[in-house]
Amino acid sequence: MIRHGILIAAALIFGPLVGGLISGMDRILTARVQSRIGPPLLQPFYDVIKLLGKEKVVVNVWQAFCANAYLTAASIAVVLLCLRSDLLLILFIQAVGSVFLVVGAFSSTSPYSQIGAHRELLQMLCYEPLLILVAVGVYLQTGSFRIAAVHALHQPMLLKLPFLFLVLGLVLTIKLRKSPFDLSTSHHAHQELVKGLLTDYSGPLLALTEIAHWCDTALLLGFCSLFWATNPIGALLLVAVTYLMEIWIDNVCARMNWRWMLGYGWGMGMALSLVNLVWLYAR
Amino acid sequence: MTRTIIPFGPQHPVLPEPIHLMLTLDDEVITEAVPAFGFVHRGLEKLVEIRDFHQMIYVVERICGICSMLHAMCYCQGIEEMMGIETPPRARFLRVIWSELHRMHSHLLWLGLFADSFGFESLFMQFWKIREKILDIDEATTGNRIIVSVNVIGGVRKDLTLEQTRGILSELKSVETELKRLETTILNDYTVQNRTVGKGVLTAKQAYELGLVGPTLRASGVMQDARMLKYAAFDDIAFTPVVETDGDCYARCKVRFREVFQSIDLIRQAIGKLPNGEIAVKVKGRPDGEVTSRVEQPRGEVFYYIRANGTKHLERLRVRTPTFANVPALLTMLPGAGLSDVPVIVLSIDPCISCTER
Repeated sequence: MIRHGILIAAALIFGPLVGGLISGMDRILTARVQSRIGPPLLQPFYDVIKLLGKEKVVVNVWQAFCANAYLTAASIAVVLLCLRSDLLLILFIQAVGSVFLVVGAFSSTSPYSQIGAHRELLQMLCYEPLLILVAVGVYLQTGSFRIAAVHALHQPMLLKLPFLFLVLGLVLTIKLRKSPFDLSTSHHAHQELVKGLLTDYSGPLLALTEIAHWCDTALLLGFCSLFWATNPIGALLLVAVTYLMEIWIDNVCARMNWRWMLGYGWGMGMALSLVNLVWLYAR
Repeated sequence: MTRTIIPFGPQHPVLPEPIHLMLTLDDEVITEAVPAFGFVHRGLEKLVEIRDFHQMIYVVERICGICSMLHAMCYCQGIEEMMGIETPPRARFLRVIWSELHRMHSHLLWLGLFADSFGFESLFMQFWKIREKILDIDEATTGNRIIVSVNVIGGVRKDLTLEQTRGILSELKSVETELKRLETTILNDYTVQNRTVGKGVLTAKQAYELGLVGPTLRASGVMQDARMLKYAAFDDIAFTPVVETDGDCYARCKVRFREVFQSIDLIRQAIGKLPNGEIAVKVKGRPDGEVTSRVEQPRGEVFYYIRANGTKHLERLRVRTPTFANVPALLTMLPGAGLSDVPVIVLSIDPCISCTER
């Protein structure tokens, strides 16, 4: 029980902390790729602290509730991952959090927010089935949806699920809102919807959505690490390479539109998933 | 989703300057686009009443930073024609060099902004990094990076030494090499083509009838460029306008990208043929009569109407800027386009609201 308590506390503290540090590193590396110096490593934390200190302007109560619900769901998902819980449950809670973010954006009257929410829903429609297929692959490999079963493997899961790992990478690109999938909102607001679904979030509420985004990042990278769960150094290397690839993709692609995302995401994602699943099943 | 009205500008991170578009959407498809100006109108033409015709050079240079040299050149050429002043050959060649440097940094600025409009930030940064070299040349040769202020009535106020011309040629070589490295990305990248090919198409007939100018017109297959009028030293320099025929955003990008290389070539020719001699003649008397003057700015043809009455103040100055001519194209291109294509299409005419709101 005490061990669980420590794990929960560690997940609640280190989940967003790791997500924030990764975000800081991302900004530096992206800047270097673009021939810039970039901000300090801790800039995301400075930004969030500043946002938390600002006046709380609530556009409507429902949106404020949704921001809190999004953070709560994202934090619970990270906690469950640390507790090596059920993968399907984790993915479901993560999806609930994302839905709250969308509902919050829909509750605003801003057209930018509304269209952003609409696009975020399309993004979810694109990646959620793919996430489930990755989970099915994990099940076929381990015989269980529990993460503990992954840790009991003697061989890295990546060797048996290489295509599903690529699919997870695709999902990660959409979830992290990297080019070519920065459709519903983008980090720099240089797109037609400005800040899209986050338009009417400001001050402390925007800070909550940013912390929840860090949690999502930590969760998905934690999910990636499961593919080399047999060795912590291997897992770390896999996560580092995956994230570097994300930064690379972000910097070599233009932003596409949602029609392309659905076509490519479902087409490529489903095809890769099915090939891997059929191979696993036939074996 | 049902019909939505979405304001695009006048303050928008994608737009460099304040133009307002009221977009009516059906789902994410534009059904109507209504543009609006007037947010930063300055009334600079009215200043002819209190600034004399020499001082007006500084005023017209400030109509727009990016094409300041060309505004001043157009104005000076108009006054020179009215007063019958023959500018020295060296001054005419120097005007070509600085005007083409201006075109280069304007097009590089645009190429960066265009990449930014479809979310390609790294490409945006690379183009702007190259642009810095051109601004460095401007600074080294004129003392200023943007508003170079070299034109005077009767010639230019700055000369280029042999060492400076060598420096320009060496810098241009490095700019050319770096640009060629980016060519594959801006013209052949799958994601860039996906966002630009077939977007905002204008046929040659539409472009001509709408009265478009500059790269926006030439990308639709119409060979029209004010440099063909052989002003400054263009009668001594080999020049053929860059023309594309597809009429879409990609073609407009291709025209501007190729024009940067063309400007490098024109500067090399001008430096190669740079004659010795005076850089300006002394101006006597005051202008009287009326004249029109045209030069090719980076965004297209700029038109000056000047009327004088023999006093030190002009009677009337009227400037028709290229963006004012190109904005009607948006009304044709935007309806039917997707919302995500709006920044790409709007940027494709290279709107300069500072010029338009003179």
